[in-house]
Amino acid sequence: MSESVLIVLNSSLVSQPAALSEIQAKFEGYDIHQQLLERIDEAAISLPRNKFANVYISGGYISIDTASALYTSMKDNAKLFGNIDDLSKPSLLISGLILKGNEWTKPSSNNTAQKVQLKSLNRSKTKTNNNEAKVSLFKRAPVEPMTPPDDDDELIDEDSLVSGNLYDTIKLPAKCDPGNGKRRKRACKDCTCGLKEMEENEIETKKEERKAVLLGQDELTEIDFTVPGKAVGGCGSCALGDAFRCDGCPYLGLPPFKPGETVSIDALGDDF
Amino acid sequence: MLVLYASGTGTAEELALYMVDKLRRCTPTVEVRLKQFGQASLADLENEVIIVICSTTGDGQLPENAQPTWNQLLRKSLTPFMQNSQFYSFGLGSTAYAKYNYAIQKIFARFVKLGAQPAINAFLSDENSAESYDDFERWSDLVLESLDIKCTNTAQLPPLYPVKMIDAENHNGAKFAQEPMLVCKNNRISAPDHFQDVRQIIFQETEPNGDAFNSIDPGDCVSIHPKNDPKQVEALLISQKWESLADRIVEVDGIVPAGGWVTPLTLRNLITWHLDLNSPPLRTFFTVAQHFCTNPDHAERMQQLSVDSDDRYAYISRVKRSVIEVLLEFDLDIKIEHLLDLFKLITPRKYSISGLYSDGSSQSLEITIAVVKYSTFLKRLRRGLCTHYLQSLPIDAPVYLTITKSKLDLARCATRKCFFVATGTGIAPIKLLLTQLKFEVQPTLFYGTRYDNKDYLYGKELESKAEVVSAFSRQGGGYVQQKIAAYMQSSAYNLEDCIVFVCGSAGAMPRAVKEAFASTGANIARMEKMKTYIEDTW
Repeated sequence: MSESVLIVLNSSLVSQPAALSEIQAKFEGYDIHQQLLERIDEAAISLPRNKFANVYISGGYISIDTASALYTSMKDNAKLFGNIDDLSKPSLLISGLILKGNEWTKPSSNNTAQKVQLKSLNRSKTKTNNNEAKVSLFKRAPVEPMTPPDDDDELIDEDSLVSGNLYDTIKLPAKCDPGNGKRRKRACKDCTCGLKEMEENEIETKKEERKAVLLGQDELTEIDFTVPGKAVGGCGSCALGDAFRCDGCPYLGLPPFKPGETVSIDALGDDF
Repeated sequence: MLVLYASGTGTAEELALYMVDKLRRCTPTVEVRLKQFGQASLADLENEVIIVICSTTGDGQLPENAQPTWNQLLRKSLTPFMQNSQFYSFGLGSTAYAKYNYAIQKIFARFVKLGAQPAINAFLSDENSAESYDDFERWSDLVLESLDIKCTNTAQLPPLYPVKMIDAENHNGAKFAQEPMLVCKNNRISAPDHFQDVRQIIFQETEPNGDAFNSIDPGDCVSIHPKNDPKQVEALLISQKWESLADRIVEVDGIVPAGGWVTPLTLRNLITWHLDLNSPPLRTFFTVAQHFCTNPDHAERMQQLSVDSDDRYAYISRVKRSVIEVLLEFDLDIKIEHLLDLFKLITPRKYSISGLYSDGSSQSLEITIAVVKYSTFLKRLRRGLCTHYLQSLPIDAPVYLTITKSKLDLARCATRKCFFVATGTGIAPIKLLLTQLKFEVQPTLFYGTRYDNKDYLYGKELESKAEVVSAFSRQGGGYVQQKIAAYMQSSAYNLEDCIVFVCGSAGAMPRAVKEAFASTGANIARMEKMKTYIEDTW
């Protein structure tokens, strides 16, 4: 009996018969099965279990669910390969496939007796939803047993781990200059562009405004939240906390006023 | 999945909690475990999707609590046992430090060497940058995207660490398992008209316990467990109408803080000693608290704040608003069960020991602290939790502290020519050095303060112990780096044969000082490698 292969078709291939037949040509003599990636992903079709010795990916993104479905459809030691983008790798890894070179292999179940599987929660649920059935399981092959701990073991020099070429793989934060003459939203801690001063000035201005409130007896009586039925400021939010106050609210920075409380700003004090 | 965090001050832990919250919401069927890096076994790292979040200490190390596992991972004989694992890595650091984000880079390199696959690039977050506030949000979205997880679930999750109230009451004061020390001196040592209250605080043993202090070396620190201001605790109890429940015993499931819980663990003691009321709200605060709003408008506002990071930045970070202030602005009916989802736990604060004393029968130790107090446009003053607590301590008050050993091995200083550099309270560990060690060569201290009569802490006293070169910056005296550059020009010593120890706030000072020393032609990088150029900055 000839070896089986599942060709997983990227939808864009359907409109390119030439490319499609090129792929099919690769598997001449195989027992060829074809499925659309989208249909697997939407769980519109269910793949046979433990059937395929090969899975060929013609491109496109493989989700965790798809990877899990493919895993189930593969025989032990079956291979998955083809045009696999980097974004799909985590899904394949989570499904339990093992990457060797450019090929992903399904570990044989003889070896997986002690596989780390079903790290899923055993939550009792009153009703099962559809997703429940296709949980991504973390099933993996066992690795070579770890070196037994040895307390006399020599340690590597950890400083040697930080070397220049690491920066190729590590994402560094953006530089202070946002470019294109754009203004930053917030100042850096060691700001040198003047934005920090601007922010500090804003805070100073608000402090000044607050002093004006503290000093102006007229204003205090004008906005009197203790009078029943009287609206709490034009917007109705002054008496609430800062989370609800408008941008220019003169009461910014003050704790909320409780309805019916006599407004004595000094009594709000520094402490609780 | 396994979320690992290595945290010095609690930020990485907070982010890890946030990540776990997201994952629990979005992948209800997958087990998500949360572990402190140092408590993970090697077996935990096999066959796993690992998310690691790690901060960096001042000298580029992993945080202290990560060391047990890290030392295991550094073993030369390890085979690539992580080959079936995949990881995501996020580093917390600040470009104000020279060894910026070294820790996560080391982890990244080591994991790769041990066979693990980085699923996406490591992300280095710079606390010094304006964008850092968004970094974790952006990165966690990338992680979810890479795992093909779509997150829309905003329902309330069961508490991660449930708090259960039981019927028993207890009105006793709180105690930790360890013996406290007693305050025997708490004096302001900066001039009364100086802008900052700098204090010398001395703690005495409650009962002589022999040689506990003999093992203290210069550079060692104390970790002090502060408590909240009782007025704030009262405000929280009243706002939640918990006054009648305050002395009931509670039990917490799933977590024990490093120094244990206080006993008796009543609601009041839990809030007073363990819930950090003064830090900004946790990232998950708004996600969790919106379910406790009794007013739909408030719930809506909470929901907005939970998703809009610019909004949160303006409301919280820019003005340093504390979680207790936020809490009191909303109409909330908090479920006690969820208390630990809303608050960070208080972490002990570390201070350098500045003096050791013995009167024959009992011993005492001294710290020197600057009280943190400043204002934003908020009406209430911003205060540092621990320094505020320490400032108000009366004589004989019990204080819970533990000694943290330094790895700097400063005892070496006795046999070599030393140049010490201190600004402000950076003088603390240097004072201990100068008073405890017998130096073969007289050391030189470059000491930067603002004035000669307001904040020249211990300066006069230390002039008998070392050659002191002072820089009084507000009296036209310049800065330490200028003094160093001038002094070194005529120094007979080859700097690379000496030890340099720099102590003070991180940022511009250590950098300028390094440049000044480098101007002598010495290879500072080599000295750092030999650990003869040492910085202890914060």
